Amino acid sequence: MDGPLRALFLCAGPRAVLPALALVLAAGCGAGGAPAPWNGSDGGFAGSRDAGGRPPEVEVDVRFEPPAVGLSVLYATNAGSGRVAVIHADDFSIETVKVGDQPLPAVAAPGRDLAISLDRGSSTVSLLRTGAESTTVTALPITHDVSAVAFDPTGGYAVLFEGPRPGIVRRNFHDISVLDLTEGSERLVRVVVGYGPSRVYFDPLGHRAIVVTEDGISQIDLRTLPAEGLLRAPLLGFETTEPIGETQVDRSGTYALARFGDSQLRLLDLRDGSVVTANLADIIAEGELEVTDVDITPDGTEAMVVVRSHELIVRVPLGPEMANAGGWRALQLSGQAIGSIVLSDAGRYAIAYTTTPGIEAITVLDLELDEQRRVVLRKSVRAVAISADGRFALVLHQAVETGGTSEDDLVDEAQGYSLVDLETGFSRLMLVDAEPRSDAFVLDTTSEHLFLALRDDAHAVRELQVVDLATFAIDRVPLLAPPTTVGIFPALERAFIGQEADGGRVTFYLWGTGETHTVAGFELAARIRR
Amino acid sequence: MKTRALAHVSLLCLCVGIAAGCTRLRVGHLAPLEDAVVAVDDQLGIARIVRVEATTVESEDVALSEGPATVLAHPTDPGAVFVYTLGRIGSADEEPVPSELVAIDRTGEQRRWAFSGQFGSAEISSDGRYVIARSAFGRLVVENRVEIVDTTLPASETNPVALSLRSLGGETPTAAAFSAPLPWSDGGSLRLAALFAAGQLSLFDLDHPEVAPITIPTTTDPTVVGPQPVEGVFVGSELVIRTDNSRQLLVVALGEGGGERRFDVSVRTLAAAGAIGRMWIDERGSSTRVIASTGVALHLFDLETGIETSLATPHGYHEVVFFEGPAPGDPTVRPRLVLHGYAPSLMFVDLGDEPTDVVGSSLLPLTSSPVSVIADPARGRLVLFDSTGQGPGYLDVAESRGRRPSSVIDLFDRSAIALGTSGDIDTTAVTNENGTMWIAGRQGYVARFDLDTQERFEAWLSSDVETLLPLHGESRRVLAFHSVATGSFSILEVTGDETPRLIGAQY
Repeated sequence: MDGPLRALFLCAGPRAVLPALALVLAAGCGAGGAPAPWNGSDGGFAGSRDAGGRPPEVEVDVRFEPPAVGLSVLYATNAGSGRVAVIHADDFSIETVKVGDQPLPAVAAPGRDLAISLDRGSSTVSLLRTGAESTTVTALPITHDVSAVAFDPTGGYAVLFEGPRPGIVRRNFHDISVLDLTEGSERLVRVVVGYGPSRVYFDPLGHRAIVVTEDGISQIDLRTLPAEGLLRAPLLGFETTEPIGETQVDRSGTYALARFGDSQLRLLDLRDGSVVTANLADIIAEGELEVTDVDITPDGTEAMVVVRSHELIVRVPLGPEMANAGGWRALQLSGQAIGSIVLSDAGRYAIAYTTTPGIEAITVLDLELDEQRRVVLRKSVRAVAISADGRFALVLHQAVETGGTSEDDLVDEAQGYSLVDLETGFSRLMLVDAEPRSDAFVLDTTSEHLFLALRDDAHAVRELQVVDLATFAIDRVPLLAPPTTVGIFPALERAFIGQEADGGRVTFYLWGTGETHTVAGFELAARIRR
Repeated sequence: MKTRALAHVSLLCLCVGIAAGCTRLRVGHLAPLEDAVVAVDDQLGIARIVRVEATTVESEDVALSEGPATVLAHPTDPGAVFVYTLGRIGSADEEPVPSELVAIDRTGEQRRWAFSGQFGSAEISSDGRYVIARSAFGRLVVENRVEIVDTTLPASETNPVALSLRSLGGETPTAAAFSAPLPWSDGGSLRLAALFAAGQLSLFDLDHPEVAPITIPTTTDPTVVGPQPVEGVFVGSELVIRTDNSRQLLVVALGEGGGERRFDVSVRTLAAAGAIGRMWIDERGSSTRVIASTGVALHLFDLETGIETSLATPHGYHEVVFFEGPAPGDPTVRPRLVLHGYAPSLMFVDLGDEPTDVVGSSLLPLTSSPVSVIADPARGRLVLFDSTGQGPGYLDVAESRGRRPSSVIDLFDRSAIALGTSGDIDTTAVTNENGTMWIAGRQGYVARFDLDTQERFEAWLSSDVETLLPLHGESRRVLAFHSVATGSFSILEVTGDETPRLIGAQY
């Protein structure tokens, strides 16, 4: 695996390789997490600087959604005891259920009180279904290694596969299983796909599973799964023998877009297997071309390509017309250092920025009005996320050593984050005592809150920061144990903060009242001998 | 202030009415009773009760079983003690002798219980009702096994009752906690014993010891032995456990059982920011407050909801005194506490009705760190002591030796009365109801200091004082031992100015 996706796994683990809230990270990986070149061919990107002496732009797509959050329950896995604690967020009651002997962290279906527990130590998969009274467990035999789960958005199916994990050598490169979630008729169908599946998409109707592999795209028609036996999914390639770079699938499930070499994009039409190629060199003749980021817009009509070397964003339409450079639109951002781009789910805004230390600004692009605004910040940028409705951006900053003692120096050296109102450009900087982690916040516009957990074990920093998005006022909620996850239950008007404590610990924050309620020790119940 | 009185008193041998006093004892243990003292010689197997009257003493011997003895003070009945003898394993020529427990007060032996075998140690529950014998020894023993005496009941087939820890990996019982009789859902009452062992605790129904216990590990990690439970307090139907060097308290809630087991449990934890070194239960608020000290912070938990608040504390505090009263600028009589320990200050914490309500806190600096403190919460008073450089001596059960008073703290006014002593004053005791302090120095010097009125009375005994031992009882007598090993003492009366009387060797 190449480029940003590889960096993602080194930094954040495989479960973060899911689409959604786009967050772009820089640095923070350490030596082991240095990014590879996005074409993966010459190894010259990692740790190197470009011709202008700038450090590499590092992009990591991260979705923060705690893996075990259901509609109204949390699923907390105790790997040691082979049990999962089901924590009901409405009344804080807890039940524990037995799963496999060596379970991986349970993965919950978005918006449903249903989770899947994979197991390292046995050939079973446990399906947990929580009803009004209790949680039932259905154990299903599986014949191959699995480490990751992707749920179909309609709730009908899940795909179980062995994804890449840092430090772990896979043994299963082709076998995946589709789990039919129909209650009472649950079954696993084994499917052979291309080499090395890494990511699974679904079309909006839940009819197709689209599996990204190192060979290309394997598609599974979920409506025609065989009643018995195996299936080999048809594979579509990009009509090249070059290694496939980062591959994205648009939300409609119509196209797959992959990067090749220094400047090439290939678009695979998943309906008929046709491939269209676009070459950025067609419009940029002078100088060394440095493409640092590519994202598909939420509506699936365009790819936004960041050419850092030329301070350029190229909007390339998806479809047969992609090959025609005359239809591309180039947005020159002269003097505005950019290297990465992040798009809002709602589609109106995009934010272009760079992770180069010392560049303390972002560029907000209004894609509807075709306008841009430079927003000056107080610190260098490490990562940016946009709220689902596109109204706010969260900027995680770098802490940069200056050796100075001025106020600016101290601000630069501190950890911090900024919240930006994209409508007005107003931003608020918050200096904090620990590095805000890319997987420890929820920017939730339904409740109008940002929940951000801070942790620094060396300095005993354990805190939840609650930011009111209407006023940008910040409340600090001290925690007694290091936070590990943050999530929300919108219908219950509460957030939760999982914490690292023997026996398990979850603190609920009720945003209506500001009260907290902690449940702890629930994992011990699994080991009680009666 | 009283006039200084000089009283050289000749030795009086008042061996009045001593029936069994002829046998000289080699005393290994000593304990105060109500206007009496009990001295134990486990070589001879005698517990000698020496009753101290206004002008006379008399003694009575209680025969003990064989083996080394331990004296267990009754936590809630200061007039009673238990003498536990370990017994002896048998040989080819001698039958084994089991461990035995004898309840004693000033009137003599009250009850006696024999265990089924030999146990190396015994502890008494915090309410004094139960004595647990553990650490079985012998040529082949079951180390999991303990025996428990209900001291409110006479010996019978079921008293002591034997329990066997469900060992998960070879661990053996190290301590125990007991519940009060709990009104239970089946219409009866439930009495539980919690046995602690490395990494776990086991809960037994004392009325149904044949039912297997519920065993609760203290960690979720099955590959390691969890922290050792070191302290447990039942609060109604919940048991709060402090484990060794852990950031969390474990709360075991009792619930209705099923089948032959009358109870079940659920567990939760209360977390602090650091390792919890001490724990206290405070039931003065609207619901139970659990207080945990990490050495640098005090955490206050609402036991019911788990809500927590904390405040930073200076290093060194390890004790808490609860009291109610006013404070400077706050005339409201409210629950408060004061922290003390190895620190040159006291910290006051003012509490509200809710368990986590902290109204305020303040420090009272001291000129030195007290070596010990005697608290009188009802009077709102602490007596602080400095060290004289030497520790308590042999049989100095009141730990009177090696300390001198440094100040008396008014908890309500948060002010101190500084006390100075000459260099030869090295022994101090406070009477059982905390109203009077006695000090002793060289050449038989003793002085009485009324902590309420600050009146003093001085006297010289004809022999040096080795230790002071306050007796229990309304007379508030103090024994000034000239030789604690032989039982040579003077009786110091707390009332009146009468001359202290010197009593010869009593055991």
